[in-house]
Amino acid sequence: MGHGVDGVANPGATGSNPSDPTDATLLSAVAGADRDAFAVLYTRHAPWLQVRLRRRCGDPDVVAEALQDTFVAVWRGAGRWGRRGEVPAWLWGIAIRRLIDLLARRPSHDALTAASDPVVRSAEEQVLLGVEYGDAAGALNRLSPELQAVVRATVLDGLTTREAARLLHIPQGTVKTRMARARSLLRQALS
Amino acid sequence: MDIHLTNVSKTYGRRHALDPVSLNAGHGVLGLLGPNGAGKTTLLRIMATVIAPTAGQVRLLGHDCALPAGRAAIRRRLGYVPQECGFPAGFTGFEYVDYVAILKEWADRRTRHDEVRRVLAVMGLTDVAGRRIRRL
Amino acid sequence: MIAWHADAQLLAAYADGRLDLARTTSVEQHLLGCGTCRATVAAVADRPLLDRVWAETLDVLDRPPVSAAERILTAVGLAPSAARLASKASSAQRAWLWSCALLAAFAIAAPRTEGWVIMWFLVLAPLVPVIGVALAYGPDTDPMHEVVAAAPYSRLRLILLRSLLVIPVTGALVLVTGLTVPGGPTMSALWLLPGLALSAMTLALEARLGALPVAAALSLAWIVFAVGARVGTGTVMTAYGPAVQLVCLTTLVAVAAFAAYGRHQAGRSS
Repeated sequence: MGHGVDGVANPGATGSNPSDPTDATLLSAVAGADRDAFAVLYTRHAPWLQVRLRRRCGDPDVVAEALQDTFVAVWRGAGRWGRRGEVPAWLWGIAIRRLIDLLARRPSHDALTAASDPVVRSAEEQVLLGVEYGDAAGALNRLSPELQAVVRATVLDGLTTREAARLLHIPQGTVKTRMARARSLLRQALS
Repeated sequence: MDIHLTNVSKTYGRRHALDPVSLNAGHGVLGLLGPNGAGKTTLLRIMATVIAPTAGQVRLLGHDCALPAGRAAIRRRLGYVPQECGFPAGFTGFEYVDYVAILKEWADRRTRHDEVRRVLAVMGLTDVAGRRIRRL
Repeated sequence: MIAWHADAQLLAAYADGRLDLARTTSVEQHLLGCGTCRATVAAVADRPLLDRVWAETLDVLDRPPVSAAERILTAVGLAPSAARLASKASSAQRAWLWSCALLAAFAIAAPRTEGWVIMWFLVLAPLVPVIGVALAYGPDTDPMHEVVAAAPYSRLRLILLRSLLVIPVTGALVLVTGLTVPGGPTMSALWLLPGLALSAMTLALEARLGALPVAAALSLAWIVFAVGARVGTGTVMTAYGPAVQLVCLTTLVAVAAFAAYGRHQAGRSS
């Protein structure tokens, strides 16, 4: 790993081996100002967080800033995790909210960049999709990009209506109507 | 030859802290041995340009310590650990090293902090650098 | 039961944005719970960006907090490193600050009609900036003095920076006494010039003789002078007469000129 951290016991410890320290252990250590544990946590989680943020925002500088804000917040607030839920979900919660804060400061930025490229599916792939996931996936994919974005923000990312509105730069009312529309479309498709 | 001392002495009023001494030295490690009161600390302080000699000539690294410009040039290349090293109350380890770095003319914050981090890492002090010195 | 793991191709497609919403949803939900797949997706993450963010994060964490004094000084145009040197007051200087606060409180609270109170106040007031300046440098007040003396940073610049806080504090004291002491603003302005002149002389002579000895000697000389004036002419105000003010002004100008000349010479020879 190229971030110049010396003396870290096993920077590649993904946490999937029983002998690796768990995320919870690492967070406790970070709360006690342990730099090495912080480095391991970064090595484990910064990459997938970066990839996931990239799917929400096309500007790499904004993603970098959000990631940096996230880990600064993790260092300072590691003691506040409180063992509710899983660490990765907690980290994502911080990251997405940091991203929203940054995007809210840039009114001209298109939050949907790269987040909803229309995907052309071959007939074969569509059949496979139907077999793997049933009709729900197909119905989801048939939603328009705006509806998909709202579903992604509220359902997948767990944001409140207010936060989703800030992320997508639309009024809260629009978020609600689009969610209602998406729900009714999905209900129709599945019945 | 890097160090040239010629008849360097130091007196405080009537007290002879250092009798005239001449010394030529080059690269390597130099040790000074002597009983208490022999003037070792005084000699080192003169060589570190902390105090001026009462008499004699001091040339370090080709610079003359009698001239302000010479002293400034030497200080830029000098590393000095004094016998009595005091710490200001309330500084953290990082702030202390950072303060010394400013005195060594590292004006740009980012490069200075990167260097402070590097030095602390070399000494294995990264984890305690954020603590106030009086708590160590 | 064998756990399901996403293959590298699927994760690469996900990272590139080539997956539809349903499959993206599946992958992302899965990643939240699977460390092995998180490690796999790390291979397609933006390595240079991750390294850069790590360096920036460490920089933010290590950065010492910037005090209000530093912010004010930087806002007025001082370089941040210089502002740092100016705002880190030694414990001796902090003690001086508290004494000034006490003095101001005393000026406000003391009975205004008592002659001896006013007299002693006038005798001692010019020494306030002198002491402030004397505490800025030297082995007696600076625990780091040896390190400072061996460093290349300009000694004069350092002393001036560390004496910076003397100016606003003295100014505040002038203001307070102007408002509360009978004789008002004129009275408080009178002791300003002698105070500045004595401070300037302290700065000028400290290199040769040491800050505290010079300050002590000048303070003593001033007290003797002021008390002598009181004893000799019946009022302390003689010590603040126009002749004295002129001498102080001349001294200030002379010290400033001398310092400027000295810097000019040093600049030429280096």
